[in-house]
Amino acid sequence: MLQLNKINKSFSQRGIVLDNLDLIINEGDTISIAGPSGSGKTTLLNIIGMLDRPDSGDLIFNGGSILGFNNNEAADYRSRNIGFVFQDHLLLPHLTVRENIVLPLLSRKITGQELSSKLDHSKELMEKIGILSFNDKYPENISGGEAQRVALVRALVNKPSLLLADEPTGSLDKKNAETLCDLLLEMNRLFGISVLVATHSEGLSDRMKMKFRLENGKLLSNLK
Amino acid sequence: MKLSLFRIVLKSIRYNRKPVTNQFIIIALLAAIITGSILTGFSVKQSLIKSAETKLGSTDLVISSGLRYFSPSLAERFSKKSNTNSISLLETTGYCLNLGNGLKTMNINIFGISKDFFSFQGSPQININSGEAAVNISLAKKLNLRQGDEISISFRQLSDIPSSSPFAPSTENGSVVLKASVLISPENCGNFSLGINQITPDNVFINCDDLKNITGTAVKVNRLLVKSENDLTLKKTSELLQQVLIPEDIGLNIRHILQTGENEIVSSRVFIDQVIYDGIKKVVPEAEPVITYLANSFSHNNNSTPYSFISAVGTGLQNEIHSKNDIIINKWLAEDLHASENDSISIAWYNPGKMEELEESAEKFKITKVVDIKGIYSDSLLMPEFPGIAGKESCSDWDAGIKIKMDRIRKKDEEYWKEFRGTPKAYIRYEKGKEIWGNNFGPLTAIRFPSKINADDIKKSLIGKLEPEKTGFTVRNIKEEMIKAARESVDFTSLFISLGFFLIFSCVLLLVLNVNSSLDTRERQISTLFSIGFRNRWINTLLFIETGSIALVGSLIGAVAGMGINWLIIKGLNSVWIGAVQTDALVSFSDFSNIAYGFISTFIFILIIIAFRLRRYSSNLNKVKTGMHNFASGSKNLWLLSITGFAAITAIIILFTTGFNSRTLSFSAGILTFLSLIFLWRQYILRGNLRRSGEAITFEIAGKYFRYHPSHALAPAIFIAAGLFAVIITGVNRLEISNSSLGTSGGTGGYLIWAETAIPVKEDLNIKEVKRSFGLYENPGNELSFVQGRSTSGDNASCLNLNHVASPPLLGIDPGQFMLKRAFSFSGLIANADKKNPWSVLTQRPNENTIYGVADQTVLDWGLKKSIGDTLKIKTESGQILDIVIAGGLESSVFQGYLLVNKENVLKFFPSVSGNSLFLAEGKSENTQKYIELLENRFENYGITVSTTSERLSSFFKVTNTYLSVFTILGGLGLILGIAGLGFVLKRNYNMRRREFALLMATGFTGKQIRKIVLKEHIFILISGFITGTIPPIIATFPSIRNGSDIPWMSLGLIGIMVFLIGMATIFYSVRQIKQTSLIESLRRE
Repeated sequence: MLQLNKINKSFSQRGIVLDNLDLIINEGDTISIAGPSGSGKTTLLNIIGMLDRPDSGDLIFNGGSILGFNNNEAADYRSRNIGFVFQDHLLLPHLTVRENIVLPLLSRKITGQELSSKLDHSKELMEKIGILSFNDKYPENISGGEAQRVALVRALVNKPSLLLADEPTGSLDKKNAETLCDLLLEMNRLFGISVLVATHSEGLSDRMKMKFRLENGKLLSNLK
Repeated sequence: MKLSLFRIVLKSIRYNRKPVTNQFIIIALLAAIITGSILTGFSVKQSLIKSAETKLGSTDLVISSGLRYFSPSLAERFSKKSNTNSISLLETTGYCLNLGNGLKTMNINIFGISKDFFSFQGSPQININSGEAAVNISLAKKLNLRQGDEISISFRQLSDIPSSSPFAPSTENGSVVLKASVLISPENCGNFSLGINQITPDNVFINCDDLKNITGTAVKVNRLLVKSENDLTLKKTSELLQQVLIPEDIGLNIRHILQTGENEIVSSRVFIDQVIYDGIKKVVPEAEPVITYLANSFSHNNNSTPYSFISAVGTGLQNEIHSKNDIIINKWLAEDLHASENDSISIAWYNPGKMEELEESAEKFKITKVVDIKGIYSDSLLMPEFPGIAGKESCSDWDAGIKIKMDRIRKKDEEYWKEFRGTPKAYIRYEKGKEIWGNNFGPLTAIRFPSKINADDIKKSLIGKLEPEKTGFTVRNIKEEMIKAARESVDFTSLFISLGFFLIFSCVLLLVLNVNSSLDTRERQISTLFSIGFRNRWINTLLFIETGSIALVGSLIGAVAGMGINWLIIKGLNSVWIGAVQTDALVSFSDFSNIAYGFISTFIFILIIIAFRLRRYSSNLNKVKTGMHNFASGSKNLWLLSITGFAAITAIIILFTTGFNSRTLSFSAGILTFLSLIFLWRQYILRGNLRRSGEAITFEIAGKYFRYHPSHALAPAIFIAAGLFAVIITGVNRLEISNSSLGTSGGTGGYLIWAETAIPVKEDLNIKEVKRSFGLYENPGNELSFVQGRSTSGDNASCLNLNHVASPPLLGIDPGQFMLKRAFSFSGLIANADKKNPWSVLTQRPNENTIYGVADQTVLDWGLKKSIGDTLKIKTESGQILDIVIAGGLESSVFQGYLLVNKENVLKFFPSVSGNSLFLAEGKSENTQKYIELLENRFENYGITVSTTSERLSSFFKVTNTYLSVFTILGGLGLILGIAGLGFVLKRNYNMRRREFALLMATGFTGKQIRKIVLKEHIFILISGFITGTIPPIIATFPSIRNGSDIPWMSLGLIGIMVFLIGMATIFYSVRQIKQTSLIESLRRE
């Protein structure tokens, strides 16, 4: 589904972050990437999500290179294929839970059948994840764990093929972290979504099918 | 390396150089504006002082005799006695005509000078020969005069006898044709003036010898200029003057009476003041008063004797008249009347207080004795030297200043005149004569001394004994007065700080926004300091020192740059804003102390602002962020919107149905519309939920943010709206002549014409015969009725004079005319005044030397700096202090500049004011132009200037309107600056929403979509502010707009366009800063 070929990325202050990095993500894969702070995990996720561009290398999605995408095409790629979950839930405080969840649907013109289908899908997800009752609540009125579950649903509302999670359990207690981990895997199982998690948490990492470690800009192969 | 607090500050400034530069520029601008305003105040005062010094030349003190005249030799004696340099001159007013081109200038100053004048003033090279005149540049420009051109100069009569004095002859005003040989620059004292006013005077200087040729008598003067090299005090000057003052100086002459062997003092003014008599009596106790008057008739039974003199003498001279109603008559009269002792005769005379109206009084006397015309009863010198009577060969030649009915004069009367001249035909007691003939010019016509006291002894004993203050002299330190008036002049510092308020406010706003933005950007740095154990106080101190250092440098450089602002403002005042200052001679001055003052005040002001801001910021560091947020209530807002909206619509409907005449209603409607629009925008922001279709949804996202933070949208919108509202309303709502101004209760009092004459008109223009003599009896002149005012000299106290005026001119009017008409309106009255009949207060006199006065409230507030109930002390003509209690303040009127008092009081305390120089006329408004032409034609020889009352009122409005223009322009600049500050608001909003935008990007939004959201949000702010700032002020000022007044549409339009364009440019520029790369970082947890 997604192939990273010899990706290089460096920053003036930090030096080389990604060094000839290769990675293949297939449909339904669950992958974890560990590594020390500043090792480039977030940069890798940003490049996969086309929020950032590599210095060199190629990014193949469903057989075609996407690095040549302009900003609009990149945004469209994210909207259709990528779901993001961050360490901080990043829910907009001025929107209700429901509004936060449907927010990604507004990034492009979705109308008619597709819109109805995605709205139904969001409701289904909310029900499955157990946050349907929060519909009209504001982020300030729900807990951190609940907010992260809302963020997960928001990431999935566009039926992405790849879910990128950057330290998704970093702000959660152990119980909430396990719940979120269960949910990620359940989504993977139910919808066949590939999951790529950048995490320090061994508990979360251990539950992924493939485990990588990012060191000196290189992915050290599957340790599992 | 040692890390000190100072080093941290330096490194921080270097690292944050961009916001630091912004703050520096704003602070420098603020300092420049404040220092510029301070320097403008300083420059105006210095210019006024410089102008005063230039006008006065070498003059330090002035000894003035007002409208009385004295011998020029006094200057010589005074110089010798005081060891000073002093000269005399004659000062009068009139008008000047360029005979070459017919151009005429009214109200010019005419100075009769000796050859020493210009040497005294430090320009000895200027010499005016007989037959020549020197003209200052200002007058020369007005007359388009070239050196050598011939000019005709007309001036008020220079007679010792005031023209309104009883039996004063009808004198012609003076006029002379001279060659303008010298055009004098201000440096050569061409602008010489003793008046406290910044307006350049129009001066002409004449050789005194030419005046002698005109009057035919020895030239007398009325001013003595003293160059005080030895710091003469006023008291000392007065003492020295007293020591050299001789009776002749004040027109008193001592003569011997052959018939009686007595000596007497007579006055060239005919009547002698009581104070002068009292002074002489003190020195020579034998002095006896005499008053001789012209009776219109003596009557007994059916017999009548016309036009005869009658004397009232003191008991020291005549002790045979025992009672006040006893009379001694001569044989000639007894025979003519067929009267004898114990008969009663009736005497009729013109009431001396009502000579203009020719009011006759009469009284009966009992004949106690009939005497022969010999000895003391043959004294023809008892008749005063009335210039129109004394020396005439026959009665028919008399010019007594009154109408003599010639048909009543018989042959025997002419024979009596030929034989006995003015020998009185009757004698009464002095007390009675004083009671019935004593007048404002004095209760005596002579002071007699027994024969045992010779003339030389009288003269000697009087030298050094005549008190100058009691003989009509005033001594002033004119230089000190002028400098004091300039120092206490209109405070342009506070004026320009007020006018530039919006500019200052915008700078402060920009600074605060910039500091806020800077603090937001550095939140992580500050949080780090906080988290590693820095106390709030330390963080606060660190930030304070950092911003304070910027303020120090910015204020310093800005204060120096303030000199440039000062230069620009002075340039503006001398040109486009000249309406406010009435002069183009202002010069920009700068000095260290004022620059330092500007620097320190700005620096402290900024430190206070920063201290408050930082204190608030650091106290927030301690607060636990709960994340709880209360959404603003839409229903409450809807309720407010409904109320204000309903009230606004109702007010507009009433305004529409009543013809848009009420300014109060119009202003209320404007304010209500302003408020309802604000509530409308708020309601729009707080509106319902997300809609789910197409483009509308993106817009809704923007709306959602502002629903959460409505103040983030409303605050800048209100700033724009309030700024535009203030600028437009000030620009449009100029003072103008409205229907109410033209009404009876308005500033014109309902009168059509305002006229002033350089030479006073003695006559009452409402009298039929007078009208006929002036050619006003035919249509349309016969439609005119006049209010005439007698004006004393004084300094213009209107808003046209920047100086602080202590001695305004008094304008004597007949309050009865205004009482009848209920003319003008009062803004305030003294407690004991009749509120229903306010003018009646002028008819009261609290005590002998206290009178009531009324002035425009503007004059009281700005010119005189007095309140209602305050007392103004004015020196009368005879030197006594007159207390004028301010009894009322008039709403803005044509009388600005004057202090109005009852005409009776001017006649009493300033009798030498010989006529009316100010006229209000009413008639048919459709004939206004005809009236103007008629009056200009008929009173050409009086140097008349005629205008409509509305033009006169407009000239005062022009000053206020100029200030409003300045406010509009400075306010506009401030607004534009404030709009540029919108960029900081955007940046701050953007900083606060970075993560939101980053998230949107992560969920598939493009940068363009995000920019579009922000753009729409801020265009909404700009447009809502623009609409709210433009529509309500138009409603609020609709009556002014509808009246087609002189509204500066061009500058207002330009300000509006600039506000919109700069606002749009700021928004577009800020939105362009939103870049994907800068947002990605925000996705990391902070």
